[in-house]
Amino acid sequence: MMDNFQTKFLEEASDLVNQLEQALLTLEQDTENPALVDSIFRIMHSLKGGGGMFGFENITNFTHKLENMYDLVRQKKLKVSREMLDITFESADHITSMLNDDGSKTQQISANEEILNKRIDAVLVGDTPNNNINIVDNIESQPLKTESQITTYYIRLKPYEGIQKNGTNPFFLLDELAGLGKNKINIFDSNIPDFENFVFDETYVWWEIILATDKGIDEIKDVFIFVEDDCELEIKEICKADIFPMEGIEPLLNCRHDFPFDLDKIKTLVDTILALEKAKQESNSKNKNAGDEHIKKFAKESSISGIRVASEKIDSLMNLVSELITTQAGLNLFADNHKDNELTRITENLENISRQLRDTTFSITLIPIDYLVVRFKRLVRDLSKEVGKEIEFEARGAETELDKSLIEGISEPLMHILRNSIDHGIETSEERIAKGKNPQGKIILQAYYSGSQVVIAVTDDGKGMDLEKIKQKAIDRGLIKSDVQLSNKEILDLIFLPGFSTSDKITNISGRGVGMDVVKRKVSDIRGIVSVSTEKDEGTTITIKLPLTLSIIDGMLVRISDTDYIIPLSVIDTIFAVEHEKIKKSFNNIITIEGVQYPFYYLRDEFNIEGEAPLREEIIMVKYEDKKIGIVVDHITGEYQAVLKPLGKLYRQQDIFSGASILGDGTVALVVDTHKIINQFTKYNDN
Amino acid sequence: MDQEVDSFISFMLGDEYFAISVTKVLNILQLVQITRVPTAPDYMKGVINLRGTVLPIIDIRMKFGMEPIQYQRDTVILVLNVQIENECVDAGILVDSVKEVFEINTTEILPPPGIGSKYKSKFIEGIYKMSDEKFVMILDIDKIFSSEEVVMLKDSVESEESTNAEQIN
Repeated sequence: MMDNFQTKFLEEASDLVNQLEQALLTLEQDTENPALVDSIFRIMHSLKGGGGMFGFENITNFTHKLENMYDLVRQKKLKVSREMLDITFESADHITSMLNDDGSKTQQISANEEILNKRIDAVLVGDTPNNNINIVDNIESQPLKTESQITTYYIRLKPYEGIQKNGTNPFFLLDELAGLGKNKINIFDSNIPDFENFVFDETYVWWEIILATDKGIDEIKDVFIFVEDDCELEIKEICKADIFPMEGIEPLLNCRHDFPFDLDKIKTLVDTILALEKAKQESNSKNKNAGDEHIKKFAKESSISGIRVASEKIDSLMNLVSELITTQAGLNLFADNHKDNELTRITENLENISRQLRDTTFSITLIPIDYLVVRFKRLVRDLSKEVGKEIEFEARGAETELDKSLIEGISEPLMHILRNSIDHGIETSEERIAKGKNPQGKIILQAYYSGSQVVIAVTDDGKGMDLEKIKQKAIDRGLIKSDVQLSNKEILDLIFLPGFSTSDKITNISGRGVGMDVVKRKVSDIRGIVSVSTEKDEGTTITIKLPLTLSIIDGMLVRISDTDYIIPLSVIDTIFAVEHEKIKKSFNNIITIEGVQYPFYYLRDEFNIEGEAPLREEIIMVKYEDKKIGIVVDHITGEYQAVLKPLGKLYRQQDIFSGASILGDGTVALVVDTHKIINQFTKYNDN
Repeated sequence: MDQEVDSFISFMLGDEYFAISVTKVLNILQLVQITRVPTAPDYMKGVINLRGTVLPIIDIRMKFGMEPIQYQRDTVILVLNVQIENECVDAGILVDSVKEVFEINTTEILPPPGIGSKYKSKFIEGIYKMSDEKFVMILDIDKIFSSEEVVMLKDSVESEESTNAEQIN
């Protein structure tokens, strides 16, 4: 049995190996950088020390040799060479396999170790073929997106009383602002009158916001475009940098109820820090290059303070929070029925806390995509070497955070997509030169938030997909009939069919063919959608859209007959009440509301629900692609925080429901996936 | 010969006796409100809340091609743990009434009847003759759950006759 400390070490060690790979990838760009060599040396040292302490002698012995090698580099007795980097990369793999060895592969590992040791020895005596090749040359250093593109603003928003009469909810403005970037909000509520004088749709509070965003001031102004006349608004630039990570800024940004932010103090501190940084940068400017940013980032990351928590603990915390939310719903229901002021007050307070607890707990489970990027960089590096192509990999928006379970689920499909790009997408250097393209191919992984979704797109500048070829292949394989007319999008969708292959030869790298349908299935397992767009000789983009959360959603509780359903708030645009007569008289599922025509689905019919419909029904306009489509239900109960529970294997065919949620009274409500409903019923009605 | 003793729980569907190994049964629940899942097959009655988890409920009578269950005072939900494609899944089945738990020697279980018998042998582990001369059919619940469609417990030739027979019931 492995004791606790050993497990801990294993966790730490795999983290260290991860860091090692990241440092190596940076070192590859900038072989002369002493800071990177130092950090690699440090990682080796930690591995060695830890290994010795917890009884992993083999790791200690092996890392000792590597450490020696980097020690020589530190002492400037040895130069970083391609061979040295290759050895270290392979060593990283070797260490990983040692860490994961359960005794079954010991022989293989020790054979591997012997080879690596020999190669290390060769490097140590300077006997390698291309010892002094400077590999910086061939890589055009690319300026990284620096944090200085972020600007910090100060915003003061003081709504005039009566703003809500125009249908504006100031909270939505704040939410929208918060979506632009990191922020701190200060609230002033001293104007709230006594209860007797309180008018519920008046606004008595005002806010101060500090916002660090890469968006321009115009975009901030856009947020307030409809309320300009209804509030006092002040937007000031504090500085052209993100002030949140700055040292010592935090106490100044702490919200002190009803005391304004001390802007002068903040400004003074920020100016000092920026001046210092500038001076530092100038003194470093001699050896400034692409690696610099990396190192800074690297140094920053290693200094981030945090604690390591076992993921089971987080899972059980999430479960408890889910239980709490469900219990809260029960309490809300009870309080509503009892009309006791004190009880209502306590319930509301508690609900507020539950909500915050939910958000905080949820944020704990978020992991930046960066976590995967290191692995991808490594994959692109190794595979492109293997197939003899020159490929540069760039990750944008790697700080975008995703739920832990989504990160786990998305890793494999993304690997597959990258492999496809390397193997089939990007041409060889010769082909690229012949086409007049940059001989070096490029793959960009981009991640960003879009509404309630996270979008991850992989773009290559390769040869693109040949639509004719895809169609022909699908016909050959009997997937479609030869005389069908397909739009370009429909042709592209063919690649997601099981057993489809566009590559004439199947290679051991991607072996497409079994590829894209697996990608599609894995992505839909985590409720995501894959799509593809391509341009001949320009490249291909594969886009994955994922829901932000998996477990708790803000929904609208609705009712049809005696069953409750939940529709995610994020997809709801507007809600209208309509007469049942009007729906009955509508032609071809089109209804005209306030002069606009909307297609709609009548859920009573689509769900085969029997019984009499009420005289007045509600039509919910949901966003579907760029359209709005109505969904008709009997009755709207109200907003509801739903803890999503899986419907289980037996109901996997019913994927128009993303899950179920247990209501306060113990009954079950079904959570509707409006996208799938619209898709499914559209297809169904077409046939 | 091994003298292995197994426990089974017997229940009624219509006027026939069936049994399932107690190792498969987690719980017996009183009937509660079932939330119907639209677009699902008719025999899948919906879901209920079982202490915070969502439990699917199957009308086992419909799954066997019998008349849908009529809720009565004795109607209960048997919560089962079934294996579907190597995965353990909890599910509830609606039965007309639960009879008893009985222990029998496995050697006393008769093999499922061959061709021409009233019941399809694939879903039946065996038959046991009780002391009152009644026969109990011991069900292979995993196999029943693994088949997606209505399993027509009775053979197809007989199923037409049996629907007629059920209408008389």
